[in-house]
Amino acid sequence: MSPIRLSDLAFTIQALMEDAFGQKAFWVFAETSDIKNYPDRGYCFLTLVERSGRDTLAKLEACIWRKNYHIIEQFEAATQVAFARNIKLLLLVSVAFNPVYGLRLEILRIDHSYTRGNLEQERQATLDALVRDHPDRVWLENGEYITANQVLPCPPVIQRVALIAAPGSDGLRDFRHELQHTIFGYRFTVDEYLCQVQGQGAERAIVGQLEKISGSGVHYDAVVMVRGGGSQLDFGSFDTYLLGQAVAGYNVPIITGIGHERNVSITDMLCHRSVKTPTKAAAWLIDHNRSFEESCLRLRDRLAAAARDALLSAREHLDIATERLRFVGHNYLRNRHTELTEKAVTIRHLDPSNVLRRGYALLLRHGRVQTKASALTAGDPVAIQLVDGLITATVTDIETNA
Amino acid sequence: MITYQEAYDQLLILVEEIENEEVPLDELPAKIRRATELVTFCQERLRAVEGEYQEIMEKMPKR
Repeated sequence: MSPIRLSDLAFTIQALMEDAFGQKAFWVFAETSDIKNYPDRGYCFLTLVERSGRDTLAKLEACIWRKNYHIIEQFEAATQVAFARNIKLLLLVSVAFNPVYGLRLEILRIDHSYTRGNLEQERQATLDALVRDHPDRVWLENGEYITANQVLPCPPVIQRVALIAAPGSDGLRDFRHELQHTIFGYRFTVDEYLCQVQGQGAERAIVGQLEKISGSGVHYDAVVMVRGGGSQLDFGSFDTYLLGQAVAGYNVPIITGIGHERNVSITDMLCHRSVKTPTKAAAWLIDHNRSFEESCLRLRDRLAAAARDALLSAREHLDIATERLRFVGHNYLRNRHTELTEKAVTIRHLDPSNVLRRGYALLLRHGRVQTKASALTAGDPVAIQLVDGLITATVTDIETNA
Repeated sequence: MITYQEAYDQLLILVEEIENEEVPLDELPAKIRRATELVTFCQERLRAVEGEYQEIMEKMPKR
């Protein structure tokens, strides 16, 4: 066989490839590796790999041309995942061979639901692992994840705060601004523990700061973790096992405001309290303190009302007792009068002259009152006492009661 | 010194004694006089406490 030119070989390969693959497209599972993205020019080069443990089973160059470049943006919007290295994708690709650039897969479409499902599976696996490995930090109650950090008692007033944020970030600024401009005039002491809070490896930096806070010897009322101003993607760190276990078991209540509009990260699920944004995190602290002050004000009102009621009731009781005193004294004397009057009436009834006045008469013999007919004999001289005088008479006949 | 509550309790006992006519007539003036003293004492004490209450309420923070 005589030697041929490289280009002849290349064109031959190209022709064979064209025959074999032509306009066919394939759905393939692949993981992204090195990415060179040129948004300005509207194309992207990347490497697709398939791994099995530590082994690489396949590795092919791929590209997204300008006509399909919008699929990157669509993918990010739909999945909230940055189109970056080390993500698992389901891709529609065609195979192309160029004599100069070699074999290259052209990416035509990206399946969003596959990546979403994958992420969800990964998240679930992370949560399962946390519950399994750290039952003292994360456990399930009625299908909800409960953590040691969530059940920590929060001090009624939060004043000393450790803040984890990226240096110079909007999140840091928003949080501080909101905290300083509270209409209630609450003062907070905020110590900054600044570090990278997004992108690869951010979880290690954040956990490092949590350890630093623990080691500071300062008794913080709360740790606030904020992230804002960065991309809406790139929340991967907040879904990691490492940060999840650190947050779940942390011994100071952690409040997050990591600016995730749509999803709730594992860190959000496992921390003491999660709000959407850094501003809301500050507002939460203010509300928390405000509710303490309100409970004080309610107690104050209750105290005032109770004291007022006690005085009113004492006044009422005293008035009743005074009135009663007047009444019983009066009653007592009236009763004595009544008693005396009754006695006098009885006495008066018993007076013989009163009896005579009512028509009765007294029969006297030898000056003594006679009460029995049988004691008298016919012919006895008697005297009859009437109310107005004495009559002298003689007994002529006696008839005793049968 | 006697407290408001003690004075009030004594007053009630006297009132009840008189009401139940457990008091000999000759002792009535003394009992009534004592009861009246107790009423006066309670009135004064209550007024003083009400005054203090007002003073404290005026000093209580509003917000």
